[in-house]
Amino acid sequence: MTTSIMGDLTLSLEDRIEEAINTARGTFQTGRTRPLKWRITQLKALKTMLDEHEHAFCSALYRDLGKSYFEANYIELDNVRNSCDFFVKNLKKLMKPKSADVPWYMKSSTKAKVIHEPLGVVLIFSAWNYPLLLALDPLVAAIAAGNAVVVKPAECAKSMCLILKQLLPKYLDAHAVKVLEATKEECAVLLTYKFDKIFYTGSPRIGRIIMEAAAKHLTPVTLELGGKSPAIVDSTADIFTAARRLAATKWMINCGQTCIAPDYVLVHSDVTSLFLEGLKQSLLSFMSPLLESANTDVETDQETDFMPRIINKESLARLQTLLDEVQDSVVFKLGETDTKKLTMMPTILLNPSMESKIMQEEIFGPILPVLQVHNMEEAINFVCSRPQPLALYMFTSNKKLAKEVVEKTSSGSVVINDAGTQFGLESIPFGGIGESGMGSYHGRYGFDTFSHQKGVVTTQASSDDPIRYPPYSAKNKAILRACLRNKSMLDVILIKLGMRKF
Amino acid sequence: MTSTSCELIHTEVRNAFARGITRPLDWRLRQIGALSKLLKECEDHITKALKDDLGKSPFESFVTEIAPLLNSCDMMMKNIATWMKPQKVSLPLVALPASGSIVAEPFGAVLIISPWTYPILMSLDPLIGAIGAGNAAVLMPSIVTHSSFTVLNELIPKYLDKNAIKVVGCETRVTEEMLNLQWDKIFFTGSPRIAKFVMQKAAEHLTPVTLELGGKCPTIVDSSTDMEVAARRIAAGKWGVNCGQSLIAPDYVIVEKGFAPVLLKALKNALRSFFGSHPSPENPDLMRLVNEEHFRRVKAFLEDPSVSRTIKHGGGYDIEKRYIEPTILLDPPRNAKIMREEILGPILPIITVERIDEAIDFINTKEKPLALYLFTENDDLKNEVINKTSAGTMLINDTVIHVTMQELPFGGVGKSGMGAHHGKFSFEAFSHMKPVMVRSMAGDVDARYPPYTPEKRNILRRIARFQYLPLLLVWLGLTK
Repeated sequence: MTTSIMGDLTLSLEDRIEEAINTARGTFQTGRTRPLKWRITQLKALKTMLDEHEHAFCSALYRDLGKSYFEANYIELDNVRNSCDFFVKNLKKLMKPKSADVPWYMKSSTKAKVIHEPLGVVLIFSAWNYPLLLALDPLVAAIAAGNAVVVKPAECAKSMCLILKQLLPKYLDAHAVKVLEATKEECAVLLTYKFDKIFYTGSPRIGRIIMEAAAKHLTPVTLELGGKSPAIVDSTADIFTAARRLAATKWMINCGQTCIAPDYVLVHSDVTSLFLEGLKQSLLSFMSPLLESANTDVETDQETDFMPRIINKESLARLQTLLDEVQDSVVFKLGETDTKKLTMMPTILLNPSMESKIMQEEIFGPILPVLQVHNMEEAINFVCSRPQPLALYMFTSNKKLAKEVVEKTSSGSVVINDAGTQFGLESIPFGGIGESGMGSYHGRYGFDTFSHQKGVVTTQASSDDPIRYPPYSAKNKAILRACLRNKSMLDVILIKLGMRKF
Repeated sequence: MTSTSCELIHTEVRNAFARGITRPLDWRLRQIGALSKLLKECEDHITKALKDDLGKSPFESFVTEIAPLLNSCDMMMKNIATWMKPQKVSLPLVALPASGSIVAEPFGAVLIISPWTYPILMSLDPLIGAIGAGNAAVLMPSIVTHSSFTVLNELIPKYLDKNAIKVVGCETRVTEEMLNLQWDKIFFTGSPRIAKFVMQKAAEHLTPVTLELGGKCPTIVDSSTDMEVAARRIAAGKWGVNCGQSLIAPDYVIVEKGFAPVLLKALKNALRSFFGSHPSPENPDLMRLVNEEHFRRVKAFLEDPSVSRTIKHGGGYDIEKRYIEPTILLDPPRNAKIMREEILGPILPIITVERIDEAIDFINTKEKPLALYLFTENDDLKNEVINKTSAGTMLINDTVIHVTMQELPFGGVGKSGMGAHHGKFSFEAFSHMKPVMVRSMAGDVDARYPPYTPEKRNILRRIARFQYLPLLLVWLGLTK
């Protein structure tokens, strides 16, 4: 029996897990989470929680990752608010059964429809880089689909863990939505229990462990993983805009610690210098106040603009190791790394070695390798020879080339002439493929992900055509064969009259 | 088949996909057209194999395997061009100028593993989905139904593109070898036990899976229903098709104690009208158990004395012919093996309850089934069952006919599976729906970029929350 070091010291890990699952399951079985009214109430309460404690949530994000008040709202809270709004507006429609067509010879007696059924008890693993968004955004979809939920907050983001544990039970139905803290080691035990769905955001390595554990219970999974999301810049692109958009998405959001951050860039050799210049200029313009304040030693606080920091010492050390190996390819660095403050400055590499670690693993930090290519075929081949990424960004004004890239490469999503903008849109399914994951969510895709689409067929019992049953005369066989092959009513009538064979 | 041969096949299929041969509409249409031709030209050949393997009559082979496949081919050929087109999606005002679409992308090299219950249908139906979606595929039909496997092994390379579509017999060791390799999608039809193994192997490569599994499909018969009709439809679903060896066969029946005798009588009547008073293995509409192992497995259910004493009809068998006659039990012990495992044979237990709503509790003590059948005229009971139980598909007042409905997702939930197929669901089962967002290079709003002045932050927050009117007012300078 292992005892948790967080939470209630008197309960063992197994006790805590069982309490969470049994409560959630018991609540689900009462049917309480199924009515539209309950779901809407929960979603509205979640939004109220964010509004009433906005400052507290933002402070937690500041403490955990150094996110500014603005970034915390703009990137995390606002996305969750939008998801709540989407479902409050659309849930009634989404929950309506959809009618399905039946073969013509059944039309008079049979109706069919598809209904969305909740799966039961869902387990959601959040991730530390967006510890609020990645806990609550899936939660919103799971609740919208009528499930009971166990949320495991990212343990690296300690302040967020604490505040979620305190506030979620206060605002939501505490018997239907449980917050369960668990360390990495404790998760191995958690995964031995049965859930009706597991939703995980994180690394491919852990994704494998989760899917393997889920296999023992035949639990369906959605895995939102990472990978090296490439950007390709063609010589026909508006280089300055491409550089600006890439720089903003890479460095100005969570310091590069984003699953859809452009990991590296493949640039046509004709425009590489221009592109590098564009990156530098963009960075200098984005970061000017920060650089000024750094020079004047002014204390920054949650309100002023500054860059989020690296989550912890281990991550920073990892990034430093990656960088050390390719020091000679550094062409630009905006400042020094501060191991105490856990800050690393935007760094640009040019043509680091292909064998270097930084070109093998997902960077997840503020280092951007820029690789020169001679032509776009080289770029496409480069991307295709590597695991499928979560996102691919293509900058070009050549429509044919854009189409070619979409067709020849495979990724979770593609954005032409921008980066990161595919997130948070309800009409766009967000998910990966291959190493970058399976399944998707956002908008109705989230609703589908946490539902079972159940066909319901209703037949009248009043009329029973004996032709259905054995023994089958030759004529009956012919009629049945025709019907089953969707032959027209006329054909069947002719067969009945003995005027046609089948 | 050695592991090297498995690797070779895997490599060939992967290369075929990488070369892009499976992607054009033209290739997909030709392959499915060829498959349709195979089914029509070789119907007799296929029918003979099914007769050898399962004792299926030509009529039953047509009804349960060939016709559904021909229908799938027709439907896929009619729709691929449309489904392949990017579907436009609407984007919010704030995302403009931009356009969005979702493109169906094939996964790549897919592995299709199929069982002995419907050896032709269950290998070729997923294959139609795989090809329609532009994938290369390796089919692994069960070798338990050996003649059917032989037919597929012989005919598929003759009619279809043998660089991109291959057949390998599914036997334990070979399947394990295949599962060690990296596939872009695995479609498995079979038992939950093996499915766990398949999913665990898939996890090693983060391969998405569709699992079409079995389970005990319960049938609830309420007193408000027409017992004769219910009995005929249950009998047809159980014994009229493949000797009960169907993932969706009604496994057992639940009825109120007082109505059990009526139902039992009606079932006997139905059986008599279908198969005569003395059904025998010579009857063309009655099938055999697939092999000795399964015959023994099913017969063993009846060897338990606590079960055999509950036989109310049938119970006879012929070992040599692997034949068990349609058998009905009344209230075998609820913890007997026959009530714990999927029967997959011609034995129908009737379980009685005091009140019909106890049926819901009983069903919920078991795993979620692939199908649930309810016979009732009572709307309240209907709604109770729909809302309080879960199953892959639910039928009210009939059994098994949902397999013909291309617009219904056919698949399980919980232990009966994950994912679905049939109709467009087959196409989607083998596609990655990839969003493509195209943004204009123009229209780069300064507000987007740091440093974030309070004005910029205000605008961006409005944008983030789709607050158009406030945004307009800010832009017009009418508010801060």
